[in-house]
Amino acid sequence: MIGISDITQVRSQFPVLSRKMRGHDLVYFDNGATSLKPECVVEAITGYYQEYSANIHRGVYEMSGYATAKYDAARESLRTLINADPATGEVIFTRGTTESVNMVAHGWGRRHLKPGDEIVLTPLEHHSNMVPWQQVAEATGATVRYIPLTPGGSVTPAAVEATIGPATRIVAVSAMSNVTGYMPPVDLITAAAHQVGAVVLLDAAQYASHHPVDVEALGCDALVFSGHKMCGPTGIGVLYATRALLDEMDPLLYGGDMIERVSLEGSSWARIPEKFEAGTPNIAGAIGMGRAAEFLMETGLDRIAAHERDLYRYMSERMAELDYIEPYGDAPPEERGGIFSFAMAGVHPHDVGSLLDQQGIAVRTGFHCAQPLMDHFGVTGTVRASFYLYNTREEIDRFVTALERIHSILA
Amino acid sequence: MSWEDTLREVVRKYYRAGSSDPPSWVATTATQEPVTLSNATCGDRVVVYVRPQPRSTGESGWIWLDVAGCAICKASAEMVVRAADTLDVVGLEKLAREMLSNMAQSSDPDGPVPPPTAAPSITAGTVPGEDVAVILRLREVPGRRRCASLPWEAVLRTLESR
Repeated sequence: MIGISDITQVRSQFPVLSRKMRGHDLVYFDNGATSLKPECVVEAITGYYQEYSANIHRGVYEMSGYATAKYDAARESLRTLINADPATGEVIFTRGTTESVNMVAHGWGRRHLKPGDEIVLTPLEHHSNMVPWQQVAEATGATVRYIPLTPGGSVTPAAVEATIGPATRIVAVSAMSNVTGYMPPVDLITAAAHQVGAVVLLDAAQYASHHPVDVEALGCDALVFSGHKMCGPTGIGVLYATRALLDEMDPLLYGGDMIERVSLEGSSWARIPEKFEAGTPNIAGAIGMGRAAEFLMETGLDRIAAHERDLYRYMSERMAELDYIEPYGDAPPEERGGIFSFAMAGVHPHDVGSLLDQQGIAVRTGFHCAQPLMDHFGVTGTVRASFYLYNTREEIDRFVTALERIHSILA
Repeated sequence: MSWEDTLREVVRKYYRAGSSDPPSWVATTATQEPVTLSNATCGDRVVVYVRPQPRSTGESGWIWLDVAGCAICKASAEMVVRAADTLDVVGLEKLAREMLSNMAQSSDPDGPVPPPTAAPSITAGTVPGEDVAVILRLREVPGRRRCASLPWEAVLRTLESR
């Protein structure tokens, strides 16, 4: 079965969808910012706090052991979600994608980069996969280079080939733009990077929650994503990295839980993954994210991706009826996820967003933490509608009707 | 009044669809170094120009705001300019402080209903108090508060730097 066949059953698992917003049934099109949470994830989180809220690891009593087992099981669920083999790579729990990128940028970059080295990004990166690299470049004397985009914001093979070269040490690119939903050719980029011996980090914050991910097949050295965009809680995320890369990385944080031995003279580090998880972790968050991963696998990420592709196509068709709507991104639908970014002629994105809110429709407006891409498009912001497994064509119809009303008010 | 009605009201009274031409002194007179302030959430931008020797009472147009922003931001900037027509530097600075102080107040949406926003003590002659109150209502909409406060903050920063 491809696509979501029983949307009513899916929607019934998300309690927030039963609420009203401004007196209307909620249409939640802000999934690029964060997803809604299914009942099973909420139960997993509250279950920890209500039934076994002990600290993990060295507790020798039953409840601590149970909490440790649930935490470890969550890691196992995340491994399964991305097909990570613990023999060759590991899942590290972090606070989210931003922290995951910073762990690699500072933990690996500061140790290995030097003047003359090049860090390759694209201009479509979220700030969280751009600013850390700019900082590391400044600290090490390395240079940041960007794979140039087409006017519509896509990456061509020629641009990849022209940018990645002998001086490239790391390539950090988004697997899916949080603005246009465009999915760059990460297989081609990874191959080009590996050909020159560079490390590849994929920012899968938008991608991993909507598509099947296989890190073995992707061949990347690191992959980062957040729990809250994939039906999980906020404040938890994942850095997946190969053991080879992790062995070359320093921890970002030092302290308890990440040590093997501490003496007055110095300290040595615990094994991976504990080496990179200093302090008491976000136990409930990890358990919630693990449950979210199971939920997505039970639903089927291939089905979710197909459902969102259908919504994107339908949205494109409906929006084409409105001659005052300018969509962003020139990639064909098969190279895009469920994100539709646009401008309404003569109306500021914030004003569109506020008036959609009045009709019970939640979208994101502004520059979406991607100012260089806004500069590329020559705008300060866009309106972004982003879909997930619980969205419907009927909601898109309501959205289009709402836009027509807004245009009549403001344009 | 709903948010939609608020926006309609603000737009009707103050919104300038395009960027109006600046007064001639902006280009021809040596002005104070303009202050630029941006909204970190959306990239909107306000640039404030002030005549070097503002102002004797009755002189209008001593301050000019160039805005690249939303309807709320533009409307709020227009209020600043209109208020300045009847206020001197000290008065406008005081009004800006009061506006920002009022807009900064927040309340728990599940808590008791906050008291009505106090009107600024200074009556800006060309901006009716009820219109000021409309802008101040934006404190109830955290996502848009910064849109309204940006021009006032830019003006305050400009006047403080004199």
